[in-house]
Amino acid sequence: MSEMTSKMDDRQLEQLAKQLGAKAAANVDAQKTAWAVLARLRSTPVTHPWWHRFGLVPAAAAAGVILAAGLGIHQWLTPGEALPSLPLPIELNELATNELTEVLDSLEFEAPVAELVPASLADLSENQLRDLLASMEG
Amino acid sequence: MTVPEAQLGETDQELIAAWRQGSEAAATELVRRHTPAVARFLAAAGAREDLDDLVQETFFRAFRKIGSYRGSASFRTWLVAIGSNALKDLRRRGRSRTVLSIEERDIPDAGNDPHAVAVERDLVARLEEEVSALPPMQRNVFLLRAQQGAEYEEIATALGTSVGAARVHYHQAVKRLKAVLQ
Repeated sequence: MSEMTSKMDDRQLEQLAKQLGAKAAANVDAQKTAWAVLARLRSTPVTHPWWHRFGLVPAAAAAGVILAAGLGIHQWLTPGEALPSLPLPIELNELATNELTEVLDSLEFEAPVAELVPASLADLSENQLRDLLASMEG
Repeated sequence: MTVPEAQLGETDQELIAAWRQGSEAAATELVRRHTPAVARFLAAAGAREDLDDLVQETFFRAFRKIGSYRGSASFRTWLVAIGSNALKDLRRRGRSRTVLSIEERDIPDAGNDPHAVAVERDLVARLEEEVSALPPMQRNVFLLRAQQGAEYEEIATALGTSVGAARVHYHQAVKRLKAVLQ
């Protein structure tokens, strides 16, 4: 389109990005914002879910621990009986590295080419692949 | 409550500590200090007619859950991440995202050369459009890095992702933006 765009490098892009939103932001009055926020904080009491009020969270956690312990003891006492497997949805945590790469490949994800970043998906660790996929979910 | 500015402390951490003790003057100073950056981020991410409301909502949410701020990212980066969620919630409810006429956009000063003015005007308009159309994580990482100057480590902390993934998102965004601008 022009000399500027045909030669655009990362620094020029960043310079342009720094100017984004500046005009609209200049119309936001910080002092008025502060007054409005404080007025809202004063007039809106802090609310907690009803189960917090009745101290049910610790009770539910304790019940969960007891239930899990009971299941463990039951399994230990009856080793021949395996618990039926539940049809749980596949979580990202359950995917191996090659599976994560496969999912990203299926999304036609292109690896970055900059020197300071990994050259391909294969250079990302399992945790990084998982984070990347999770974040792409929105 | 009115606290002389000299007693407020200078750093964000000191102001946050004072707000936790109930100092409204400290909260006011935090809003005054960070409103421009939060507003620029939100405007670049696509907020327009709701910009004032979104900035207020961002600070309201931040002050309400100040207990969850651990200081691993800068307060500004943390605020921006909260603002991004507020914008997402607003869009989910079907509001915001106004298409602006070219005169309303943020146009850089290109001097008196009419050709340069026209080129930059077009460039910024297209950049703004493309940035607001990026996938949310790419957009957030790009703006935090390019507009706000945040480091990858704090971007990753604020957005709940890894440094490697943040780098990937940034370079994907840059690649896409350069492709459409060239």
